[in-house]
Amino acid sequence: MNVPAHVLSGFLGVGKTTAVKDLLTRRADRERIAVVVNEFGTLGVDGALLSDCASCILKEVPGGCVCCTAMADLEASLEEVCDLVAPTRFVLEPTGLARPSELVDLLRGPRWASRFDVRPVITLLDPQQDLAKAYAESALFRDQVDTGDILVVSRCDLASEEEILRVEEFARALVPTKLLVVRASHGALPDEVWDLERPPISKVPTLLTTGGANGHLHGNSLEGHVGRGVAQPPERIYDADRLLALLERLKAGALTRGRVARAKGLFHTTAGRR
Amino acid sequence: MDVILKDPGERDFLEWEEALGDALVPADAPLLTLEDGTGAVRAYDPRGFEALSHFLSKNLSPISSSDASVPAFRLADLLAHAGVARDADWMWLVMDSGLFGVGGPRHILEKGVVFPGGGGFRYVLSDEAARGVEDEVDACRDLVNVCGVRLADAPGAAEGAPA
Repeated sequence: MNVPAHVLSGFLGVGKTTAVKDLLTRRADRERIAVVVNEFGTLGVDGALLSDCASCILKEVPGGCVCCTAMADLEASLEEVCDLVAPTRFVLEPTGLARPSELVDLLRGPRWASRFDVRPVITLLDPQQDLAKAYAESALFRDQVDTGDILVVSRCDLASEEEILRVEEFARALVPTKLLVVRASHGALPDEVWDLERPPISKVPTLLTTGGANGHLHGNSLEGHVGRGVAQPPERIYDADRLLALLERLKAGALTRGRVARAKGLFHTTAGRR
Repeated sequence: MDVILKDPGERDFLEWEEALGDALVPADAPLLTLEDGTGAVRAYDPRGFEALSHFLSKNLSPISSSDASVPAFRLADLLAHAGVARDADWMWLVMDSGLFGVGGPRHILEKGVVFPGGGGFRYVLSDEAARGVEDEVDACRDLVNVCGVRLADAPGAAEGAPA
């Protein structure tokens, strides 16, 4: 029997790792879940965040995007996961800069189709983002939305009802209609998101799609995003207050000319590991 | 730590890393570690300690007023601000990188004042705070090289005592 496989898509910082962590927390006792986490940065921060789960199988593919530069590493990780650990469920969490259509093509392609049962693609949306604008301007975001069979309005705990309704309206106006549009707070995706199977009917291309999946040239499509990782060994202790103030300044755009798309890390601080 | 920037400037990452370096605690800086005895820990280097002036009012009563620039805080305020608080009636004051420790009733010792001094941290319990319990807290009146404060159960219960 093929292993149910999920591609969990969504832009940087939308809550993908939190959703995976929630899944592992709720199901690790009855399922053998393998997770492959891909990060655009050179450090496996998400992997470290998920490493508390003792019963899951975690593989990290840092240092690029799995739908292009890190594709070979992804395939090696898939091979290892399938051959060595025989999971009952597989989750691929690509970087927020990845195009999920490429990954779905890979998993449904000749090499993996006999091993994976690719479930509906899950795309997380941030209700505090201007999605209509992002959809119009970003081909990458469009790919994530269009490829997503299930759209999850994520981080509802941080958004207003008005913001949530606006996203739901956006999601329900998409053509073709999505299989599911649901809300999630604190990363807790409803069970139906993980349990839904892909219907056999092939999808009709969305009316709003401007390019086909085959037109993807990812080397030119990172849309100006550049990542850099700095390792933080345990002997480096940060002052918790100074670090927090610094991160606030980074978030506010006071430290860089470029806009911060994501900042994520684990530090040893004077208030413990943060 | 990974940072992803959209349309970064030429020096963005360099400047970010320099700014990050400024938040580091220097490797040779003395630390004052506050522990609640159950796992909650908060530490301060002298610079972080000084920054507490933004949140805590200074208490200079046991210190010479000639050095008013030294930040000094009541231990109870410090523990509360650090979130190191639990229902414990004993307190250990640890010195010299953990080699020595003295203890006393928490409700007395937390009236003492802590401040940076002598290359480390110093703890002073005023005459007024010690009045009536002088014998109990005699060993805790003026301590140098203090590196830790730990809440604990009453004497007799071994757990919580410094190693």
